[in-house]
Amino acid sequence: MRALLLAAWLVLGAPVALRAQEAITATSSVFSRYADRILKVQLMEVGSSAKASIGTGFFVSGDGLMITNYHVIADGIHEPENYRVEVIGNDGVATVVEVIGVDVVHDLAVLRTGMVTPRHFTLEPVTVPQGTRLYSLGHPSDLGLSIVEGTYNGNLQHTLHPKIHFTGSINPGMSGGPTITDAGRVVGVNVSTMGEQRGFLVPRADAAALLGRVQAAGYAPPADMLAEITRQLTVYQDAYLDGLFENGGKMVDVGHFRVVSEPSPIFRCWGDAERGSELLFERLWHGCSTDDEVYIAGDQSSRVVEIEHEAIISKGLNAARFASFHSQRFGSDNTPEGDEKHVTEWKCATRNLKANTGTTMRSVLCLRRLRKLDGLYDAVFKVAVLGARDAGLISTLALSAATYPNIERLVGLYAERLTWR
Amino acid sequence: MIVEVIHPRTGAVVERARVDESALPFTIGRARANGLVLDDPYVDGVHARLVAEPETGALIVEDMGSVNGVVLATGDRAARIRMHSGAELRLGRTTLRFWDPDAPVPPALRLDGGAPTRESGAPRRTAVSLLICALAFGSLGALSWLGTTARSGTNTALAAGLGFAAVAAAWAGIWAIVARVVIHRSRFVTHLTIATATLLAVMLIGTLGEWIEFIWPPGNTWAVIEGAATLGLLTTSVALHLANATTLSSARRWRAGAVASAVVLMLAGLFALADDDAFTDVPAFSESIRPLKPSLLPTVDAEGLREVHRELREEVDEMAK
Repeated sequence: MRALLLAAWLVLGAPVALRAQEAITATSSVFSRYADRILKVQLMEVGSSAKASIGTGFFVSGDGLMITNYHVIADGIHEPENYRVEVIGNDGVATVVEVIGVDVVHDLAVLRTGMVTPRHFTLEPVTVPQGTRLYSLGHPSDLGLSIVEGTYNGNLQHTLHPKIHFTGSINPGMSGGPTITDAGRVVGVNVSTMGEQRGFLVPRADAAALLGRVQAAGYAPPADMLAEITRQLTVYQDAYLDGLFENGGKMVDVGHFRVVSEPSPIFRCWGDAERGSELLFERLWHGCSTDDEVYIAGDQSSRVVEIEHEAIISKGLNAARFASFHSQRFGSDNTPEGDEKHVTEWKCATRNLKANTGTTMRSVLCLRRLRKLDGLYDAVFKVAVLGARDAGLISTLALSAATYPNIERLVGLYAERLTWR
Repeated sequence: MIVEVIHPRTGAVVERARVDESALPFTIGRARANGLVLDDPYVDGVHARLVAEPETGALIVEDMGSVNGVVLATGDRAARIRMHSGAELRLGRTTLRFWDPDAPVPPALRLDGGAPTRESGAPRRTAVSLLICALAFGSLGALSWLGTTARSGTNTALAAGLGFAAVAAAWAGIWAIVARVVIHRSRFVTHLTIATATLLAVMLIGTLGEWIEFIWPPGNTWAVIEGAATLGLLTTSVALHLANATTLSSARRWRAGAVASAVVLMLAGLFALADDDAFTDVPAFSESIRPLKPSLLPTVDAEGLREVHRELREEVDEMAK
């Protein structure tokens, strides 16, 4: 019997164990070969002389240029009086560094550390097939440099610019660290996670493009970094919102209404319904957004554009009760959160609108400004389509970090795209 | 005017004198020649006198230079005091209470120990009062019911109506206790009627406001009118409660009502100020939708809406500065 078990272990168990041993050896080898090219980046709160947040950065040139995420150092740009950016060298010494370039859209920044580093990563193109084993390095939760294995799973489908799906545990603090092949080729920069092994990387090409700009002859860091961020966001939202709700676009039926859906191919829509024998109404929900989220500063980020439709149908409410329910749903808050340091409070204007399609609706536009990014606003345009005693629609267009001309144009188009079936 | 001499320990009326205009000036003191003789060693021979104020004809009590003075209910001494029905004064150790001859008296107690007899015309007034109360509770229940979307909405409405009834009863009860102490009559139903009629008026103004806000958004002007009307109602309500619980003069009742409104206004202002300081990322806007045919609703067109939005943008830019 014992001999039989030994045979079974040799046939089934031994190869698995050997493969695991090989993987451990490979991971250990990757870590030991590249660990010295990766440092901890910290944001020091000047008043308390302690770090407010940490991230990771990696050397990309022999003269000490380092790539990290913009969101790791953003508060140092928005509030230089309160925060400074430092890196902790392999000897444990903190060095104040300068942010010399940012790509806010791709969440990247270049730091000038002043350190001479013969060992650094290169950002040359690398092609990896889906399923390739990759290694993500960084400082999760300030626990020291760590290495995480995962797999390359191609680009996300619902973003304006490519973003890599990495199946591995990227944790807070690893932001800005590299994800590399076992040969030390950078595939992407750790940027975010949705938890449960769903990590996201900024593609190497975007980091290479930013580095290329910074290393170009005659490059000088922007004198006003906030103005540069504003410029980048303005270009980005122009590209994002261009052509939205124009030239037809996909229309769907939600309850008694015909509404706009998937305004461009990068949008993804979800739906749901609320029904119940105790309820005197039926509620149908249809919402569309993308996987894009641009970090601005503090707790402030921008999803650029989201749409949401909510059709309500009476199942026994009389006209007065239905109108009251319509009011409640119209008044429910679905605006994005705001950080006082970065946005003003909302101001709203309500009017009853008769669209060119003949549809009568109650409309409200709520607007707030991004305090430090001149000319950019968050806007929520919400309408309640009127005209029936037993059916109504509440539809919301939310725009974030957009210019006013774009807001005005899209609000106008959106109102014309909501009709009764 | 009727002057009552109150027993210092029991509070019972030991003597009552009627002062006619023809008897003025009317003197009060220990000397037997006075109109009202007080058997109190702390009272002067001629301690005080009642005279008519030449301009208004109002009754004035004048201190005749007494040793211990004429003392108000507040404990202060005064040389000249204008009297009103229900006022109390102390001369030496004797308390005097002044009444208008027409001041109401409590109903008679029944010999068989039952409830006091009702005032004349009370059944009709009570019926009207009950009707107002029922209307108020019903309206509140109906408003709650309109806000429900479940089949069990009727229970919610009933609970809201009963809940308010309990609060209104407690409020009226407090006033009734005050009235019982001060004027010896509780008038619970009257106070309940005042409270519920006020609520009914507030609900009416609120409902009207929601309709106006729906038809002519944003309805800022109406919001100001609504605020002023609510304060007016509060003033009236307090003045009416006081009229049925105290013997204060009409001017004083209205003044007290105005003070109550001012306090409410001040508190609202303080809350608004505190709110202004606290940043919020939740927008405030008029959400009112009412069952009205769209053809009857004043609307703006796309261009009109653009204009409104441009003004909004200017406001936001101004705020960001």
